[in-house]
Amino acid sequence: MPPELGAAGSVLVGASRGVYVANDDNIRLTVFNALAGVTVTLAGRFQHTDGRVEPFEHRIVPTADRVASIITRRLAHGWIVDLHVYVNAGAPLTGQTFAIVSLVRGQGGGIVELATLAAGYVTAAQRLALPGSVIGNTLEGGGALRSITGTTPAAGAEILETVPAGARWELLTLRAILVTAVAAANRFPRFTFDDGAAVFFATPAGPAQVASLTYGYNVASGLPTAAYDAVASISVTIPRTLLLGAGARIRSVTAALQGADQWSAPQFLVREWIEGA
Amino acid sequence: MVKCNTCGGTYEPVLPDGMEYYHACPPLAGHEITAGLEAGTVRLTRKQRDALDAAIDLDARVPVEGDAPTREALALAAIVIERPNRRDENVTPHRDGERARSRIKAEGAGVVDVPADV
Repeated sequence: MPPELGAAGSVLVGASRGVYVANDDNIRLTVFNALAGVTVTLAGRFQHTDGRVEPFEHRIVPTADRVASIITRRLAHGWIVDLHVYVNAGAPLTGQTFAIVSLVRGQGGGIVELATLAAGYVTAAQRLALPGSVIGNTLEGGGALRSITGTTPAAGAEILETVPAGARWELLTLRAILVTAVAAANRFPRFTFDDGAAVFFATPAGPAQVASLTYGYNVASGLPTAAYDAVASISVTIPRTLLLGAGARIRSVTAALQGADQWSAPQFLVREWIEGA
Repeated sequence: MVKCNTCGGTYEPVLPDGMEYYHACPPLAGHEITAGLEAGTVRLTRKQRDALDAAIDLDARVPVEGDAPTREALALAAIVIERPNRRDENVTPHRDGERARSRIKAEGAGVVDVPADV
């Protein structure tokens, strides 16, 4: 036993060395995760009241639906000297896996949350540490950049994409192609954004797309509204920062869409954060 | 790849970036609403009916010029009627103690596996 950790001295020395853990206290790891195949590890060192320093390690395989996955593990009487959290399986980007380490009292029902020790996004390379890391917020940082291929609608159907539960998106770009069938009609596509019920933004409609044409619609901020170039590419503008909460919907709304017209799967680029609510 | 048996949309349940994708059926398109009204399978609210009737009436009295969309087409496109028996794979968060047990919002008519090039 190190000489500075005598039985009586260890109480005074230990009190300055970490987080004090009483007999009824437990450590809890909560993970909000958006990527399948991830394992998160919580590891660290624990000093017992007799001065022994012992490593500890706990792992969790969180769900990939951004809902909190939780493990609560018993600690002894002593001090958490230090700890860190990292991803040791899977390859989430920053913005896809958020971990919270807390001290709680109780283990089954009636748990009391006593203290937040660490909170932040983790990856295989980026770790959360105590001491060291600040208590982070899920909406901080640049988010995870994602390119998403949506659903290819059936012929005659519109596009619909929904922000998943537990996520917040910033829409950067969206591209979709409309192939009009032979039926004579002037189609006028636009895109709407709603909160699941009420539309809060609708793009203007571009030029008419008549029968038997293929037009690509490019949606982004800063574009001239409904510009048309020689290669059948329509630009559609959206607000500079279009933040969409969980349940918000992106839809195509095409006046005079015909039954044999075909939208492609939308391809959209978003920044995604875990909402953490 | 899977195909939704309700709306016929096709998609990958897991995207190339490893993230789960949650499909939801789109509302009825304008032509589907028209067909449904004729078949008696779609009912409009009073507000929707009034807006559509007003558009049709105005088109008859003051026809649009050039290739502009008819007011009826615009009114139909603006009506949101959710697809019957729609599928919505977005999850409803649910916890059982420490376990997250999310459920999808609506099964609809289910899905069927299809080749990726369909």
